[in-house]
Amino acid sequence: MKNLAIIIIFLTLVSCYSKPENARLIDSLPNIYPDYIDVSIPPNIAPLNFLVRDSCKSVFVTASYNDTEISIASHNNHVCFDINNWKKLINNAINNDIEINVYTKINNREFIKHKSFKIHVLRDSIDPYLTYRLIEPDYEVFSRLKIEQRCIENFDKKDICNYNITNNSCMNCHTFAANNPKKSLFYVRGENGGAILNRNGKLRKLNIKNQNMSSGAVYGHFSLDGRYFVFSTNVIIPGLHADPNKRMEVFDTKSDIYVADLETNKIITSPLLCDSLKSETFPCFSANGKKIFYCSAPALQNDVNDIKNIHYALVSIDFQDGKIGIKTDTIIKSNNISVCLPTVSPDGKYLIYTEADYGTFPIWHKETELRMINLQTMATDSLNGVNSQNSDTYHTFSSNSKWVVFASKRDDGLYGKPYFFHIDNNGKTTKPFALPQKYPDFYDNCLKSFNIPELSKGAVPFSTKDVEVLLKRESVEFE
Amino acid sequence: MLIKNYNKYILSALFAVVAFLFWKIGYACAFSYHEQFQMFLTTKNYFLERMSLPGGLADYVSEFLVQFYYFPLFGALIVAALLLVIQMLTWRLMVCFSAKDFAYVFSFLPSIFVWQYMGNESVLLSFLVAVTASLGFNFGYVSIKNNVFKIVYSTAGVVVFYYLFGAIAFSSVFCMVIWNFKEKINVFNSILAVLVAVFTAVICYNLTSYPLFRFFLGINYFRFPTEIPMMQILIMILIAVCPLLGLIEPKINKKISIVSLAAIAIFGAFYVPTGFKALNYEVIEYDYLVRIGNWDKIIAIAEKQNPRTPQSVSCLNLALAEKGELGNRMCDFFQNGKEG
Repeated sequence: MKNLAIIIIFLTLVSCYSKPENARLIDSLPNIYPDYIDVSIPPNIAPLNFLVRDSCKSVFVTASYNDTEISIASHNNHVCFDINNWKKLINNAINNDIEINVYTKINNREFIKHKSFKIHVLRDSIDPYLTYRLIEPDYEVFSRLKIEQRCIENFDKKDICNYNITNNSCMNCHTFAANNPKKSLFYVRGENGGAILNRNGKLRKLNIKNQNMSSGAVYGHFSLDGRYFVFSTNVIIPGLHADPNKRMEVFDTKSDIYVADLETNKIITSPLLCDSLKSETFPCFSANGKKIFYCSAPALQNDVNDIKNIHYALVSIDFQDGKIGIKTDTIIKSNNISVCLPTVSPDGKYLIYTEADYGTFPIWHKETELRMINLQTMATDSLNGVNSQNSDTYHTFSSNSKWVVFASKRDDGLYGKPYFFHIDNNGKTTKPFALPQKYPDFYDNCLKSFNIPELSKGAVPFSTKDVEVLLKRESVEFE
Repeated sequence: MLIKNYNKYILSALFAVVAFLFWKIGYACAFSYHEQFQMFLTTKNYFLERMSLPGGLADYVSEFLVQFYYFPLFGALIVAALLLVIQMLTWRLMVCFSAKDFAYVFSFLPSIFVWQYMGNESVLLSFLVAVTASLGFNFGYVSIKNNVFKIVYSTAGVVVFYYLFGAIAFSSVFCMVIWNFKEKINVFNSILAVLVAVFTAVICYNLTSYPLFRFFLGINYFRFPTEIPMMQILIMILIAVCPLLGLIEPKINKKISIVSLAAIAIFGAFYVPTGFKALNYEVIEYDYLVRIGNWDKIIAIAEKQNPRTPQSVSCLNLALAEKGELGNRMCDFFQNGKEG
């Protein structure tokens, strides 16, 4: 009797994990979320766990390349790959395709085998850490913000700064110098706040606002060597639309650009970047640090309703040896579109920007899309294979210039999530895929947006405890 | 006038009924306010997230219960039940401290103070659950006779209790110290319990990213992370020392006096409402009525007293619009000016 019980248990277990025999074939792809069908991934990405959206009682999935196959049997609609098996499979399949077969059991009678799909494993790896801010897609107030860093090779994450140590103040604008985790900066607002500069794990709290600036630093970017930090100061006004199809509008009544020399604690200015008749914003350095790209538009003069006539142009100005150039070059200017958030790839080949119909806050514009300029040919790629029906914005490059991460609201038009795509040597892009999560239903239950995704080559060498201690100290003043 | 025989349970039941009616009739809106701020999930990830912090079990259990706040009837039942349990556990502890029947009315004091404190809409049910658990934990300690078990309970037990229910463990440790003093138990036991609790809190601090004070005063007992109300601290002390009330021996008589009962009742009747700020609950009530679409009641309330906050005015305007009366009647009420 005991032996019989053991056999029954063994057979039950085996039957749970064996590939379904005689599954009914259907010629449609499985309805999975996130959408990982025919995406291209780096070889160092964590498992692409997903949900099967059909209301199925159980799922069986195989992932295979050549002789290597891994399988998952699930008694719900969650598909979670074992990370070690995943890594083995990926390493075998570099520059090739993994085939994914999904079997679903809708009722208790038969399995259905969906059309298989592929995941392309590319040779180019991606920077292993992603830093982002988690924030509600709010309108009036924020609460419980944090800046989190996630290792995208697995599911480990840690807080860089959170609301518990900042007296529930706002924090934002985290950025790295050349994706280097040892040179980074982020801002904590409010009382005891400041620019938290990290240099090789040593933290300093800076006050880079002087009496001429209308606000503290808002959007910023490091030079390649991390010595200079170009930033904009913006007086930001939010407003709510009466149009129910548009949620919110945010605009600047004033914005200017400055450069902070982080070694001499001096602010470098130019009247060309602080023109009272213009709003200058979204600065970034070129790959070699000898130019500053930024966006410029005529300042909002009269009625706030004029916001629809505000179109930011993409402009550049020289920057050498700590001095700002004496003339500006307009790269893109149009009365029909507004350019925001330009970023240059580390190899200097591409510039990606966000294009909206008007204004300076693309994340709440549904029509917002990414565009890519080849800086050698000046040709613009509309990135049709990357953009979606909803807002796609805030992008950064990986250190090898091959991968781009951006914040996309493609899923529901409300919550931004990090998506990745690849650029090959010919400028061809791939279908974006979402940051994989340990629990595939994570995004369904997450009530925060992923804001300002930034890639880095390693984890930051400080903890929230270090930031907590630093916030109690005085700031270093800039001249 | 003296009460010769009375049924303690009738008093407790009456207390629970009064608490239930108070919340159900007077402050049903508070339950909607709490319920709408959370999304409880029955997933493994959600549970593990809660259990990754001290006090996680209190948070998880309270969030589970708060789901039922969707129906104010259940919300009132839950709160009244917990207040009753607090009272009964306090009495059990007082009995261990040799309390006599006349002191029964004093066992209502912790519940009254907690009830008043919960009038602050930012107090989370997690605190109530933690207080209840703490009293149970204290009762467990005083019930143990074997000294070795007592040491294990006050060390390993405190660590586990701290992890499950949070900083309320310090209140329990304080109660243990008081008990040890009363029973003339070796002072080493008390010192050890205190050190273990402090050490546990410090270790948790080093493993997480919360300020140190939260590990001594609670992480998720209060909605806002930047402050801990003084009242919470007083209640944490009160539930530790309240059993000492059992030691009171009046010289006049030892039977329950209707006077002391009336005094506690009157005290409760006046004290509890002081925790419920009228302006805050005006907004909460309007919001609740909007949620359930009771436009007539919104307008009726506004007709009795003009709304005093922008949020309340917005709710009223919405109600008027829903009833097709916005154009005709909006100027009959206070408005916020041209900016709305």
